Amino acid sequence: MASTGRYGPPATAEHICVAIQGLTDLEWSRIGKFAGEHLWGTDFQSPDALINETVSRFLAGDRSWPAGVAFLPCLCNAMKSVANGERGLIRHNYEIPASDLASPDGESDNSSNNSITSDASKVDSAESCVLREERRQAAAADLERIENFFKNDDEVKWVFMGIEDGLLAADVQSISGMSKTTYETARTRLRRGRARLFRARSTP
Amino acid sequence: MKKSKEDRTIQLMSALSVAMADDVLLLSEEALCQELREDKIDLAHTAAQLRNHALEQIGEFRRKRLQDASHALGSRIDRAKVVPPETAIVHQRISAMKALFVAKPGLSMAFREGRTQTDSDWMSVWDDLLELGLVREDDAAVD
Repeated sequence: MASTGRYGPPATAEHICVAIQGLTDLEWSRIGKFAGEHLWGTDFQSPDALINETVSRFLAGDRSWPAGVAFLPCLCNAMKSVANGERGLIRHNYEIPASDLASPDGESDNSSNNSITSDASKVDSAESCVLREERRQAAAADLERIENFFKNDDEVKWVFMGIEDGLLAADVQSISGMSKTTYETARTRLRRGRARLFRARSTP
Repeated sequence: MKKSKEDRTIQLMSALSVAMADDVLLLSEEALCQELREDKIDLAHTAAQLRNHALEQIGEFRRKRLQDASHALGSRIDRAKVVPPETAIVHQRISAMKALFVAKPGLSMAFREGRTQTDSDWMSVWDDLLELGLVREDDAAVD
């Protein structure tokens, strides 16, 4: 039995259905845009896929909606959690012990092969190692695209550094000397520019 | 060292995703509409697409719930179905009732058109006697 949290008892599945049915066009557009921003580093191929996965979890009872919270922020928070979980899961799957890595010594090819064929988990680890490397290269390539796109925009670079170092907006403004408006405009440029660079994936 | 740097790349890209998504939630309705217009995204079309998929999921979910409820109800009805007692039990009950009528002369029973009662008539009387507390279920138990 679900417990009553600080934001009230969890809504029933039917209440969740009604809340979803009641979302407006603008709310759906916001949800789609939010999901699009969260696709990076996940296996979801479109915002729709992330939204569907999240809705499924709500309906299955794996996620709850406390009655005292507005539905849209709750849905978005769940999407964020699903996407973060997916990114964490992918990274976790690719973490392998150093002992499982093949020796760089050419002589060890045979012994390494014997080991792989005799241990399925090591086959997975070898594949994971390749996939992990691919994912890291993809991340580096994406980052390079963003950095190149904004190479002449110092304000966006400040915002970017702030995100990288986990700084508050006020701290970045204070260090960079940017006004609140300048900072927010630069941050919007970063978001809009990033979305344009990766539009194929982020558009619903 | 290289691994750590590459992990940081992934962390940075992830942090960027989270930060940019959070900004979308903070957009005013006007700003959101403006961005959709600039991106030439048809608000109604996009919304309909996302909504339809969610509604399909809801439809599927409700269908399944209905099926589950239907199965649950079906099994309850099956359990509640009255199974006619076995012949041996019917005969035991009739004997028990006859013995009761002998033991309690005050009790009497009208015979339909003066004829013999059917087993079904007897079972109806049995139910009445049960309700009156004059017999108990185990009075007709078959060992």
